[in-house]
Amino acid sequence: MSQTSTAPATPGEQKRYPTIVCIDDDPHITQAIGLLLTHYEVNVVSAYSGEHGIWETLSQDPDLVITDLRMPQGSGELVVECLKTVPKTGGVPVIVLTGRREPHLKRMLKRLGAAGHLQKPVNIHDLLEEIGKHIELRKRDTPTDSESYDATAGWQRIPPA
Amino acid sequence: MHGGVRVLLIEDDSGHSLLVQRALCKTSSEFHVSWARTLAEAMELLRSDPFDVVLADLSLPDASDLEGVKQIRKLNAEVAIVVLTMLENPQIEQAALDCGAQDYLSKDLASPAILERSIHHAIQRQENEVSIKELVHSLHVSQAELKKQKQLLKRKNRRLRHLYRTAQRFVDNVSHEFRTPLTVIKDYVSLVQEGMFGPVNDEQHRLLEIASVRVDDLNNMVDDMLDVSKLEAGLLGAWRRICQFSEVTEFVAPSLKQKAAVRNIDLTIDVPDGLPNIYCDPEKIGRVIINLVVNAIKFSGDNSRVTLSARADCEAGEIVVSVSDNGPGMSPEDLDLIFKRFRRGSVSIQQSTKGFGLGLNIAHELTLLNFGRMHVDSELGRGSTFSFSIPLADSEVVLQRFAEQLRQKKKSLPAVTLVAVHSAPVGHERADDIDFFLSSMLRHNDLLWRETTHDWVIALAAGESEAVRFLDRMKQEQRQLERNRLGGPLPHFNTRAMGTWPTAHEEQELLAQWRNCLTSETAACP
Repeated sequence: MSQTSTAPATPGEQKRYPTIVCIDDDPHITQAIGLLLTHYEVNVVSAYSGEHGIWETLSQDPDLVITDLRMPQGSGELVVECLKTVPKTGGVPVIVLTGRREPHLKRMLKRLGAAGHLQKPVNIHDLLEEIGKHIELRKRDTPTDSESYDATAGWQRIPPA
Repeated sequence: MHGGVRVLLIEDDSGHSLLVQRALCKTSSEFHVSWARTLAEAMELLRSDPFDVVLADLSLPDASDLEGVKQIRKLNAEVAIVVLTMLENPQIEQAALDCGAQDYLSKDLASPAILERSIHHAIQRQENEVSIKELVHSLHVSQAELKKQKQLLKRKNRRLRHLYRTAQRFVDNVSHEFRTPLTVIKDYVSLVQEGMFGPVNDEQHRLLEIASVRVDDLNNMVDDMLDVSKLEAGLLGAWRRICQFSEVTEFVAPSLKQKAAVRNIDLTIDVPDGLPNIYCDPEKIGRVIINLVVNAIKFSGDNSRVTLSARADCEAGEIVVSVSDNGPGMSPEDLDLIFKRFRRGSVSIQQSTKGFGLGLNIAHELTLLNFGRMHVDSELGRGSTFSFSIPLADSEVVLQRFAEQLRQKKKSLPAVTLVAVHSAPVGHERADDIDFFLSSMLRHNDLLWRETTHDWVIALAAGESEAVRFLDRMKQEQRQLERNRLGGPLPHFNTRAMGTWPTAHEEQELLAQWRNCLTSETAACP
């Protein structure tokens, strides 16, 4: 159904797109990732702390989680460890985006169970490539209109004219 | 003051007193005798006049037995005391000495000569005793002082450690604070540049590309700052391990290519497949390459050519990485300046204000940190080539490089101690955790070499006692980790100091001894 991307959003229909929970305490970063993904057939849910992200992951049942490491109220390490120990979320891949540069970071994250690790500032092509490794990333025929983005409510799909 | 010996005679019997005084007159010494009949009278005299010696009878009307001796000693710690008595009793004799008398004489047996000698000896003995007591006292005082100083030092050290941690945390926080807005800028520039929100013409695309590359520059500066702060602190801050060179290039190539493209520079990466494994921290080596390529791009001008190449030199036991450009090159004076700065050997944040940029110095320091050497070839008008080496992952090579570095610093690092580390067979990844933990404990001049998956050798640039403290610190740190570590405690491992050698030894001799030590060690391990 190639028309789905421009069709009105109904809960049943949205479910067919993969969902990504994106966790970062800086709303501009989650917003940027949301903007980037408006061109793809995915739903993006933003969360602004580790705990918030864990909560969203548990309730939204997403296909992928993207998280920062250094955040108030629940670090990214906590997010990864927590999601990996809960059976319901244990299979959800987690990509970590971080500005931290400790030499052991990559191994530590791998051991905790993170599926990928990218350094901030991240190249958007690298990010898309990494996301594409874990979920099917299909371009929308017509991207959602950037005008309709509301940072608090996320993307509202505009019905066809 | 008179020159003779001042004697206080305590004797209630005037006959006996006269006998003693007469005996004293018969000697060759000059005695000035004062006579007291009772202890009270004697005490009065002792308080008012100085005496060298007290001749004390044991049976006094106001004091019996040794009471008199005790009281005199209590009043005056310095005067010599000789006890005179009728009784010949070895028990009392010992008791008198215990109470502070220096000698004991029987009145009937005391000839003038014996009396004289006894008095002189008693004075001498008492003087010695007093000076010993003074010495002991001053020892106590200085011991107390030392104790106080030690406490003070301990407190200062604790404070320094605290300040140091705060400073490190500050650098970490600042770099994080920088990194977040940089990320946002780069993201939004990229989003617009990719035409995701409206068509972008070529010129706009080019301008946004420049903005994006300059954000990367700023991001590199944050990395520089982190590196410099770690290098300045003398921390290793690196995880040197066995790895492949391709791990390094894969990581740095994309951003370097983008950077070169913006300046219209043709960047060729010429790295053959199948290079032997190397021993280094791949991220740090990545930083060396970034800094050298950025330097080449900066100085060679638009439309020039920059080549990053690598080749193995198995004879020298290393991989040589070169970054060449066909830019304007450097004059011998400029080259000299670069090497002077290298030789000075330190990097500090202040240097960056001189307009030179820290890049080359950081590259040089990080090369040394990975047991490599840096080399510059340049000619005016023909371009420059910066090359550096990375040791192959071979214990002989790595130990040799380590020994060379130690010997260069033998004045400040007089000894090296080898420590064997062995863990029970756990999975490869769990063993890697130990590897990282050990590495994080090391300082700039130490070496961690992994013999097998579960066997390590740590070469500590430290003497025996310092090595013991190091191992203690490691245990402490491990216990702390046990409680706080995400993903559970570290697997168990044993450490054992194998020996300590002075770094003044010849390099070959050091290596031969280490080799011996290591082979006997592996033979000892089942």
